[in-house]
Amino acid sequence: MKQRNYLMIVVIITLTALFLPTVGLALTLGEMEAEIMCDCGCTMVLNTCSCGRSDAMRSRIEQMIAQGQSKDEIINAHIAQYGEVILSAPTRKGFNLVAYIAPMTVFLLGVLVVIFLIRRWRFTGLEEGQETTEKPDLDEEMIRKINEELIGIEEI
Amino acid sequence: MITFGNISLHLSTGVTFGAFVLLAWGIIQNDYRFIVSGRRAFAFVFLFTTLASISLSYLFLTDAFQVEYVTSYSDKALPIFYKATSFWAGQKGSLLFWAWLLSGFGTLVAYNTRDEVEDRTTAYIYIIMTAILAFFVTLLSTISNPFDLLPHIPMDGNGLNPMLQNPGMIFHPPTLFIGYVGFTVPFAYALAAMISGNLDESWLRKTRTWSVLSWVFLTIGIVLGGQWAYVELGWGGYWAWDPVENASFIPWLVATAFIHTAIIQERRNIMKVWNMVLIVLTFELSIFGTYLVRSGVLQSVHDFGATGLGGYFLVFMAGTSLVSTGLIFAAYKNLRTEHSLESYLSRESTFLFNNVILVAIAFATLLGTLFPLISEAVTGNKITVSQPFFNRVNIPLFLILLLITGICPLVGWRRASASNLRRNFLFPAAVGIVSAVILGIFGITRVYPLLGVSLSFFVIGTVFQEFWMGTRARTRITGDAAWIAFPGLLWNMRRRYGGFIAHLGVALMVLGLIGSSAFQQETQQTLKKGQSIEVGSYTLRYDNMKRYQYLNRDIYAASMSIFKKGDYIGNISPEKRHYTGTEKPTTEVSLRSNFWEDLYVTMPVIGENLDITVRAVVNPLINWVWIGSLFIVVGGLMSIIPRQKKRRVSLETA
Repeated sequence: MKQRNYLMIVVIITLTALFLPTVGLALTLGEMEAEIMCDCGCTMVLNTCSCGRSDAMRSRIEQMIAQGQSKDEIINAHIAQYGEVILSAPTRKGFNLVAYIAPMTVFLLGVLVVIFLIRRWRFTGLEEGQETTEKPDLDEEMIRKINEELIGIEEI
Repeated sequence: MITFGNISLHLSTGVTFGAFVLLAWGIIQNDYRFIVSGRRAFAFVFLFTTLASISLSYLFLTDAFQVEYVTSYSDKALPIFYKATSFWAGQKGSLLFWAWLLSGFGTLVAYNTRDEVEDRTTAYIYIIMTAILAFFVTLLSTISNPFDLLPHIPMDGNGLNPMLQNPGMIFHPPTLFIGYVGFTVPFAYALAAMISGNLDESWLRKTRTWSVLSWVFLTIGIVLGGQWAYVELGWGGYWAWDPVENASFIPWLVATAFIHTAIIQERRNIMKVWNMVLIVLTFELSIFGTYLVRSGVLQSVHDFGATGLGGYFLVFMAGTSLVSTGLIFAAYKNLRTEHSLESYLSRESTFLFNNVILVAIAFATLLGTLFPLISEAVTGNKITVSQPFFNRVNIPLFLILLLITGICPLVGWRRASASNLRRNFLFPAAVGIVSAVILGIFGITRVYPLLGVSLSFFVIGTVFQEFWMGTRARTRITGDAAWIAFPGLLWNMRRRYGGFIAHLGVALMVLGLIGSSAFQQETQQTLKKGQSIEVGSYTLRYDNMKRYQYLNRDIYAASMSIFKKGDYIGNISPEKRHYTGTEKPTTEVSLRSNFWEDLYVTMPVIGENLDITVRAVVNPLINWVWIGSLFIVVGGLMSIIPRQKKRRVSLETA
């Protein structure tokens, strides 16, 4: 039981670490470029676009960073000008949360379903008197298979 | 030739519908003569679609600009090589190619089942494939005819989109299509099994080669698409989570899940319902991929393929989904098996968890792809869902998948003992941990790259342990040296070890993905002649600009000297091209590649006095992405090489 609790703690810490956004200290152009789309209609994020328009957008962001604006202020200025469509990912607000929460929910539900199914099938198997003894070790299993293969070769 | 092509196309439609009627009548009347006739029709449809395809190719090669499709995707100046591949540059040719493949696959299925015509399941397979084929040939003969004529003959064509004038264009679409169309065969077998009630694992065994081969082609198609984007789009990457890229990746994920659980059904006769669901989903998502490319409902770098044909695909998808779902519900009682899984720690269980993750990633990708539409419908707000979202949501899931990929082979079938687990996990886990420690020593402490590299090495450790154990066992039995026993082991147990080679490919690919994304270095700068730019350990000096004509393009090529740590190592030449008949110039990537990294240079802007804006990128380990994919493909192919039939030679005859 104790071991299971430790395991749970490790799993929770790992998952939390995985899903936490990375936090940066100083705002950089690279960081901002990843958040904003190029507005030329190329459907590319600013950090992957090399058209003339993207250069102008980068210069503007650099100016805003130099003026000491925060990440949120720069993002809000872009939303005010272009609408939310300029952001490379939906904001984590309102209906957009569905996009972030649903995949994890599906994943966790899937894991629960599999655990439930294995649990149920395991008991069904036991009730029907299924064999629960250990199978031979991998080496023995493999030796058996290789023997079969060799027999096959010898027959040709 | 136009008339010939048109007649061939209409004949293929006529014969397909004729075959459908014959097969339906044969099934209703239980008269196998009609079913045999319907079976033979596949070969005729294949013949007619082949003739139509030859006609269309001929029209491209001879600049028959009275044909609207030829005018749209070719011109006189287009190199002959690309004239041939313009066949599938647009929707009409792609559909013809699809129908040609499907009729060809139908003919192969008909030939392979020539001795099974009296089996009712076989008749159902034929009629399902015929119905699907009918959809495509009907579109071709009516609203999407590649032989449609223009009211006048233009002097020249519109030319081929410059982005498509790349060698990748020869292989990327056809391999993707072979993958998509190939899944029709297991789909038809699955539906036929449910209609006939013959629900054992025979349909899986018979279609295993089709499933794996289609998956292999889909893999090749996706990777070639990435390679095309890398050398053609000029942003330094290969995967942008573009809607059309996602449209091929989603069925690939579900098909991967299917290939894994199919093994469980073959081995343990369980997971029957789930396998049906997965193959139906794979087929539907393949059609969805085509719908997404053709409908233009989402903004994509693939917008050149968009037409108004999406609605027809949507209706077709809705129809096939309804029929498939109805059949699964009807057959549900018979599909349910007396399940028995003995432990959470068994290979079957790890396969189930692997399925959950693959399907969750597929769902996340599908949701993200469609979310702009959903959001606009619900809130009225237009939003964009691009790379950062997909990376944020999918990377954690991919890491868990990688962990399961490593764990799976270490856990025995049915139930793993504690001693078995300890022994099997020790070496791979140590490899994974040591790799993380080494990265830490080199100052790499970011969570995702650290975990990704560590888990990749865990998978590599697993695979090498399997190779080692197998070789050791074989040397004991045969007495051969390890270097003889190892290839023998791979060949004789190719299904098992093909899987491991594919897993090894996944690990190598992940290392390449991490290297080229997390450790990418890039810079962009405007240079005058003689000025330099620095990226990573490279210095690039702008020496000269050449202008020349080649084939159908006017080329500006900058000549740049490359210095590594001060030493001259060669030249690189990014280009700006202006293709005949196009308004915007295109940017051509120049690459210097080795095993460890790529130096990737583009020239987005040529300014006054031939000043140039240069974007230089160093992509570490990017070639491991391509090498890893090669391992995946080789592993997949290896696992389906048929076994030589055993011939028993009796002493009497010897």
